[in-house]
Parts: sequence; structure tokens; C-alpha cells
Amino acid sequence: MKRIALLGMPNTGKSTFFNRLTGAKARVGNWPGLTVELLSARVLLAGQMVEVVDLPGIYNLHGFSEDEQVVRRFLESQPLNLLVLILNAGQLDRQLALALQAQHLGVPMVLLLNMEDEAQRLGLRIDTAALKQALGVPVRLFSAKYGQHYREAIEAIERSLAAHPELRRADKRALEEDQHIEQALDELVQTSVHVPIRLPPTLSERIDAVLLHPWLGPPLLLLILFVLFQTVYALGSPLQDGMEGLLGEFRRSVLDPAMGGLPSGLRSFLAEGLYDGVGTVLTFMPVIALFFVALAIIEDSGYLARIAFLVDAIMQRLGLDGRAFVMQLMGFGCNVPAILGTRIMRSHGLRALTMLVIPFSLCSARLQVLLFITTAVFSPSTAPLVLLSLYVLSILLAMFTAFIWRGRYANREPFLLELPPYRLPTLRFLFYEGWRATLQFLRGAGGYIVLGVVVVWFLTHYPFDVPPAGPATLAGRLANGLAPIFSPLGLDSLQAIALLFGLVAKEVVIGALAVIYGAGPDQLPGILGQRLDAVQAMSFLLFILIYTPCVSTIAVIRKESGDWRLTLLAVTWPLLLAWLVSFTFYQVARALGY
Amino acid sequence: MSLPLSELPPDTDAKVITLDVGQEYRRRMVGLGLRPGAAIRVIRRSLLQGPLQVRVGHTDLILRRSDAARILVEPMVQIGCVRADATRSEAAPS
Repeated sequence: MKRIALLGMPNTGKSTFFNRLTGAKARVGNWPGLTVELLSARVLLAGQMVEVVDLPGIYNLHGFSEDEQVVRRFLESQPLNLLVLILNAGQLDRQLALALQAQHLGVPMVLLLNMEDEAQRLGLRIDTAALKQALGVPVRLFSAKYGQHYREAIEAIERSLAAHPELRRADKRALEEDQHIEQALDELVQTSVHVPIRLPPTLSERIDAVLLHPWLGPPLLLLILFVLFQTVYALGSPLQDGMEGLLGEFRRSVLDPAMGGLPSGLRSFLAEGLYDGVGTVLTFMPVIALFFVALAIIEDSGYLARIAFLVDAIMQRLGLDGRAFVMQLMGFGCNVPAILGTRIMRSHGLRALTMLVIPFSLCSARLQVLLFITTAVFSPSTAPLVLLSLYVLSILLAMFTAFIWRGRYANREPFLLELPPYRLPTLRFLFYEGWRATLQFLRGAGGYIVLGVVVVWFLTHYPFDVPPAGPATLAGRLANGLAPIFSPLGLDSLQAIALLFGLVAKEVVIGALAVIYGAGPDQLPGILGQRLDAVQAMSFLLFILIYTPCVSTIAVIRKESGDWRLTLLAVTWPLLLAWLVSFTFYQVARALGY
Repeated sequence: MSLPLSELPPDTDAKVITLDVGQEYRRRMVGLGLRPGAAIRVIRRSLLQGPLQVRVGHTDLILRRSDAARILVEPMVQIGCVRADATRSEAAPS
């Protein structure tokens, strides 16, 4: 039978973990050569019976207390498959010493960092990847008390058990020799634990007196978030443009010449389908990295809990909370990072509802299109009013959506948050956070986004012997078939094709219109002015504002929720709303004689 | 003489008597130090019937008024003036 032993300092929740793992099956047993009795139990792990032994809590493998000697003698005499080391995540600065000592035992080990919730309360950020690299063992962060990430901890144990089927005895020399680990400990803590600087409580209280003031607090909140998100885009947009420039340059100077000999259909697939798809993913990167830095600042400084305090009265009535508020505001820049940001919510229902609401935030890509059409069709005095009405409508629709679906995606997380003293997040952690989020986005949603772009490319380019985006393509035929649906909105099939293009990325609508009307970007405003009267234009604007989010947003919703039904709803619900709003507007306006 | 936490005026020291909340919520509360017998005071209230900021020991917590209504507390000062305060501070949170 396989055997694992639990090792850890006193009060690390080792026994809580043992009880959770073994249920009520524990028994007290005698071990050869040991004068004290140890608790052990047999449990089924990955389909095999495993004996789990709970060793006494010790501070030091080389100490001379009775418990420490018991542990040493046990490790000397009893071969093990796996040593599970449990440390308190809130006290790693001293507890990692035990990990450094146990590392030399020569027994396979898994490191579990318990009290994840406690570490969060203290504002500690633990870089498990760095720990794993430094110690060469699997590392998992979890909470034995609340069961948070408990499954992942067990899976790590099961995987290590499978990888080490043979019993091993600890290296006797490692037990006898007391290594000098002080310096190693300092280095390990330096690289793996990010400790924020806490402001003294009195200073925190003085800041709160202003930031949580009943009348000053809410406007300051909007100001702070506005400045922060403006900074994200002020820094991100040039990077994004630079990335697009590089991609275009690469295509012109390398890709196009290299593909000269290929058939035109394949060339179009590679350049306009695959390459543009990958390009879409890449252009998101700068803004996602920056956004997560901004989010980490809000969260780690302790301000996020204050936001919840300030806006909960309104958000609660919509079935949402303060975190949803932050994400929704963020969505006005770009929906994609805002949806990724919902990771900070634990309740599944709350996350799902927030993901459903975020796409109604008028993102900067949609704003470009709306601006373009508005200035093309409306007079300089009416255009700002049109834009303002679109903004107001997007907020109302977001609230309406939350209100309608809050029952289906109910938030069952009890609302009880700690207001920590304000803290200054460490710069190194902020970079780490931005980098980590970007990698996760690339790995997670990247594939879906490329797929989505390729599908829309196919619809608008097949068959290859007709002009792209023309009425003879699949998209054109689809738009023709949909004419009965779009004509009550005052829109023709050419505009419907442009909407289909907008699924790739909303700003593409303008380029698509230019291709469809065979006009250069400078002639397009004139053509739009002729083709659309004010009522049709408004109907078109409303539809663009509300309809199905871009493929990147859909891909991220799918990836983050892991829920196809929610993804389908995120596609169809805005489409339905867009049609209803445009229809009502167009028909009422026409009936009133406009 | 006990009253719901939601009606305790700001800056009044009180003692928690009972927590009449669900199992899960109760566990969270106790984990954060909000347990029967603990000293508690309301620091401020949010606008529009929003959450309360309370101080338990050295920890500041925020919780909704509807949940605070299910926590009974006993003020450590004279009751008469507390009552009068309670009605006044509803309208003017500080």
C-alpha cells in the first residue's frame, strides 16, 4: 500500500486538511520505534488505497523538542511515497524554512500553502510558479477551512503519487546535518512572496474620511477610475497602433511577396483569415497587460473593497456588486479585458451575469464606428446629442439586462468584505500580474478568436471568384435571405453585410462599408450621407451599438465561463435587443412622419 | 436592551449578542471575528441604504443593511439617547 505523510508547523491547518481528506476514518496507531501514537487513515486517492499519516506539527526538522525527534525518527524508519508539506500562506517568510529543510530529504514532496484566504486578507501575493521552480516540487495554494481550491490540492497529490510508485526512505544525513538556510530562505521569500507596504491605520482612516465620504466618495470614485482607465488607453493605444503597424509592415514586405505563387483563394485565407486573426489576438495584448496592472493597483491597494462600499446600494438591486461596477466601467474601453477581469469574483452566478452585462458598455472600437457614421450623416449640432443618447442607452440596456437575468444568474456569495488598511502594491508584482494575464489570454482565448475571424473571412470571401463582400458571396446571400428581417429597420442587405464584418472587430464596419460601396475612406462619408437619411442612420447606429459582441469578446466569454449556454445567450440576447430597439425606433419615427 | 446592528448609530460601542444568519454566512462572519460577545461599532453608512462599515477588534468589515438587521447587538451606553440618535442618523449618515 502507498503511504503519504503530512508535515507542517503547528497551527497551519494541517489537521483541518487531514480531517477533510480522511473524513472520520482516522485511527490512532503505534509505529515501530516511536513512543508516541500518530493519527493515520486509509483513503482512496486516484483509485488506490493510500495510508495517510498526520505527523506532529514541528518548527524545525533539526530541533530537539519531543515532537521534532518523533518526526525525525518516523522519517528515518518509515519509507514513504510522498511527503505533503503544509505551510501557512500568511507566514511564508518563516515557514518556508521547513520547505528548504525537507527539500534535501530525498523523498518526493508536494507543497501545499494553506490559508489562501488569510494571505489574501494580508494582501500577500504568492508566486507559486517561482516557488515551484526554486524548490522543484509541485506547489498549490488552497484553503483547508473553506475548501477553496481544495480539489486542485488533492489533484496535485494524486499526480505526484502516480509519478512516484516506489516507497522511499528519507536520506539519513539530511536529517542529521543542520544546513545553513538563512540566506536561501531570504532569497526564496524575496522571489516568491510579494508583501505590500501597509499604510498605518490612522492614515488609512484619514484617507477613508475623504474617499468614503457620503457626498465626496462617489464623484472621487468616478474620477479615480476615469484617470486610471484613461492612462491604460493613453499608454495602450499607441502600443496597439504600433503593433498593427508592425503587422501591416510584415504583411507587405514579407508575407505578400512570399505568397506570390499561391492560388488566390489560399492567399486570401492565409492573409485575410489566419494572419488577420492572429493579428487581432496580438493587438489586444498591450491593453490587456496594462489593464491588469490597473486592476491589480485597485485590488491590492485596498480600494476595490471601498468601491463595493460606495456603489453596492445600486448594484445590489441589479443583482450585481461593486466589482461588477468596476468591470463595466472598464468595458467602455474594451470589453475583452473587462470580461477577463471578472476572475476576481468567486460566485459563478455573479460572474456570469457580469459577463452578460459588460458587452453593453460602449467600447472604443464601437465608438469609432458610431462617430464616423454620426459625423457623416448628422449636422455638427445634432451629432453630439446622438452620441450622448447612445451612451445613455447603453447604460440603460446594461441595467435592464442585469435586471432581467439576475434571477437566472443569482449571486449567492454572502456579502461580507474586509476593508483592509490601504497598501502600496509592489511594482514587481504589478508587472508579474500584467504578464501572467496576457499569457493566460493568449493561451485561453487566442485560438477561439482566430477561429472566429477565419469563419467570418470565409463567409465574406467565398466563392473566391467573385468580389469579396459582394452580394454573390456567402455573406451576401445570407444578407439577402435576411432582408425581410432588416428591411423593417430601414437597412438594406449591403449594410447587413457590413454588420457581419463587424463581428470580427467592430471598427472593421467602416472598412467593410468602404469595400462594399467601392469607395475610399474619404468618399465614404458622402456616400453614407446619400444612402441613409437621419432615421435610417439612427436605426443603423442603434443596431451597431447593441448587437452581438465581437468574436474576441464572445471567445473570452466562452473561455472564461466554460459555459456554452451562457455564450449562446451572450450572442443572441444583444441581437434580439438590437433588433427590437432599432425596429421600435424606426417604425415609430416613420409613423410620426420623420 | 438589544437592537439590530442595522439600527445601531455610528460611533456607538456595542456587543454582539446573536447572529441570526445562514450557516455559510455565519462561518464567514466568525472567521473574520464577528462572533457573539465581540465588541463592535459602526464606523459609517453608505448612501441609499447601502452597506455599513463596522469595526470588530482591529478589523473593518462591510456588510449589507439587510444582513446587519439579522445581527442583534447590545449598546454599551445609555439606551434612551441611542434611540433618539438612531432615528436621526438614518437620514444623515456620517
